[in-house]
Amino acid sequence: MATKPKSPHQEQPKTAPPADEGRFRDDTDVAVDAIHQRIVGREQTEPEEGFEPPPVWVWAASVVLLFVMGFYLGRYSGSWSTVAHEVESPAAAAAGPVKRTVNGTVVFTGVCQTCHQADGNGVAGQYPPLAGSEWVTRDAATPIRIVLYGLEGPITVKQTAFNNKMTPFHDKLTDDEIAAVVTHIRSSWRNSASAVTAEEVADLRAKYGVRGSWSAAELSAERSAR
Amino acid sequence: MTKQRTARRNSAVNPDFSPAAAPADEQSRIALDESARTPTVVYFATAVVWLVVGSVFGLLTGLKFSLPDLLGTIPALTFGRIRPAHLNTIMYGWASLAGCGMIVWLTTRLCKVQLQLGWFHYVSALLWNLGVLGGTIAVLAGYSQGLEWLEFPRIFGAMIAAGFLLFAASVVQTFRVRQVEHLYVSLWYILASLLWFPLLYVVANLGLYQGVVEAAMNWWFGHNALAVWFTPIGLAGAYYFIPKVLGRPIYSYYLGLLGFWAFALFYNWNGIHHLVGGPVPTWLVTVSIVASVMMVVPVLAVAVNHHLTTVGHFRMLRFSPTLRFVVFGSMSYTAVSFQGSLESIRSFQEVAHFTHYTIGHAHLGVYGFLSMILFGAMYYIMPRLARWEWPYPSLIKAHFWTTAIGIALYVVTMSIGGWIQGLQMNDAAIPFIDVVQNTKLWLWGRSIGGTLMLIGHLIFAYQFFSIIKRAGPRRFAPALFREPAPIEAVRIEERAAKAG
Repeated sequence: MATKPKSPHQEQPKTAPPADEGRFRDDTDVAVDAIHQRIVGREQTEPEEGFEPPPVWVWAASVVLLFVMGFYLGRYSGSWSTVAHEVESPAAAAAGPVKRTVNGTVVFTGVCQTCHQADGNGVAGQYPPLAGSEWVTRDAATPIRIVLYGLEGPITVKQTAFNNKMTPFHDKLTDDEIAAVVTHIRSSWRNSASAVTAEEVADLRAKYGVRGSWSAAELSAERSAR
Repeated sequence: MTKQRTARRNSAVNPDFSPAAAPADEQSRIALDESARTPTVVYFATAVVWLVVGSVFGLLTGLKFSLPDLLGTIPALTFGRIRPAHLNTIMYGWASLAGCGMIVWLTTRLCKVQLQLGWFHYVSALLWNLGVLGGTIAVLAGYSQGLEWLEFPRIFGAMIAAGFLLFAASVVQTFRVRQVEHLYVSLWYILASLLWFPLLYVVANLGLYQGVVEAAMNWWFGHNALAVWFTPIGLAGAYYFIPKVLGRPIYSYYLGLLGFWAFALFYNWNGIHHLVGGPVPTWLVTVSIVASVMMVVPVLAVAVNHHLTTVGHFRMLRFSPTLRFVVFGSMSYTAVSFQGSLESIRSFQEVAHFTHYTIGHAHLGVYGFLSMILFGAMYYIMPRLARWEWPYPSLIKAHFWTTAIGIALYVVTMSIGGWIQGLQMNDAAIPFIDVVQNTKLWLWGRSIGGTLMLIGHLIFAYQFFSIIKRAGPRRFAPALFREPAPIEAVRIEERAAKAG
């Protein structure tokens, strides 16, 4: 096809050694040079392209690949949707819907921290402390009751009297969230009371339905009644 | 374009153009080398310095996997900083500057015209080196753009881009006044990369995107830095030096065409295959996988072309350092490209992605392919520019074996270790810490391989600065791996070969 390339083995002249190389070149050198030229070429002409036809199998492989990948493109195009790719793994599908866990720290930071403070010590004379508070750590149901329905009126916490109003959260937080945040306050700042479950919260919620804020006396009565 | 039109256009640009008088003899070669000498040597010399610096960073990065406390108390040398320092010094310091030097020299040879606007390269080399130096210091000091391969703060990116434009301007001007009618394959790749890379680098550095689109842009850039800059450098070198050393024409012009245009069509879509499973539209990833697999076509074309050029002459690999380095690089290109096509496929990636396997792949590309070809190119070019033979042939041999064994050990251990790591990470029953523990042995393989490569680089740097200073024993014959057999033996061999 087309022009035949020049013979690849055509002898090429050797680059002249620089003039400052005034060294006597004996026959051995000449012989070695000839070998070099033959074997690696001291300097061949600039390379050029031959015009051999490419092997047929290269074309064949290219065309086959084009068809296969064309099929792949159609098969996995995702209907050209602009929505982000969703992975559906068989293992995850078998395991059922994902159970989301609630982080009590996050709930505390978002809901409680404004009044009770990050160190759990509250604000003197205004908001009672949670750290070391007997109302928080003595039994599990009392703090759940308070978080569910709020608290109003005088209360003594760690031998200090407070008189304020705490918001109810029964219509704002889920059972999971209340369980998580109560567990958090019962186990933070050197508190080491037991964890509470969402079921305990659900039971108390079902027991009281919708009601107003607790008073300290009512809470004590509820605790003794148990 | 017809020959006449080419000739007319060339005459318009260069009134002295005359195909008949186009020089091809030794005297003109000497003049060409003279014009390219200082720019090429400056690029090469600074590249070799960055090579040593970058490989020290790389080795430290690798050792931190085996010795986690190593230099851990020095903020500048913690993993998060020293790894990008390694990447960027190697990519922008070593590979790019060495590539620039090779391109300058190749362009004068292939256009058969002296280098135009040569002084641009002094400014370019200065800007480029200051950019890499400043960027590396900034990254070590904790100032990073936080995007892979774009870590350098923008001011240093701008210096590199400006340097590149000056470099490209000179090469393009040299090309415009060329004294040849036919453009050799290497020139196609060189000119294409000069058009593609500045666009890519500038757009990626503008920081126009946020969120998921930024991730897509980052991978578009990351893979295209290979596609439109580093791979064209490597292929231009392979296409030039294999036929040049062998003294044979490259096998087929048509395979060259197929290889180049398929390369231009498919390679720039590849980057998004890094986002398989990510929050991007399904089709975007699928298109990228299709293009990645279609890369088999240009790679096959190049591999077949180079193989059929070399076939029957593999004996010469025993003698010529240039040929051995370049053929090693060319074979690595075939291997790493087929591996890359495979890695893009979703089911393969489920195991291999986000493991050490990918690191092995990256090093096979940038080191086994690109760096080995650049070494080969330097071994060919430097004696012509320094007018001094390589003083220590035995050190070339040492350089070849340390780096070849080093990279082979690196890639093999990382591939096996990475694959095991991937399989174990997919098994939820295996605790994560056990998966980490199981990679430890393989990671030592990487550190040993990296050490061998660093030793090779120190040997190479010593020899490189010897030839610049014309130090060491004065030799009058080309530095070969071994002395050829006496002439009679060669003749007998040839006769035997002819006889079949």
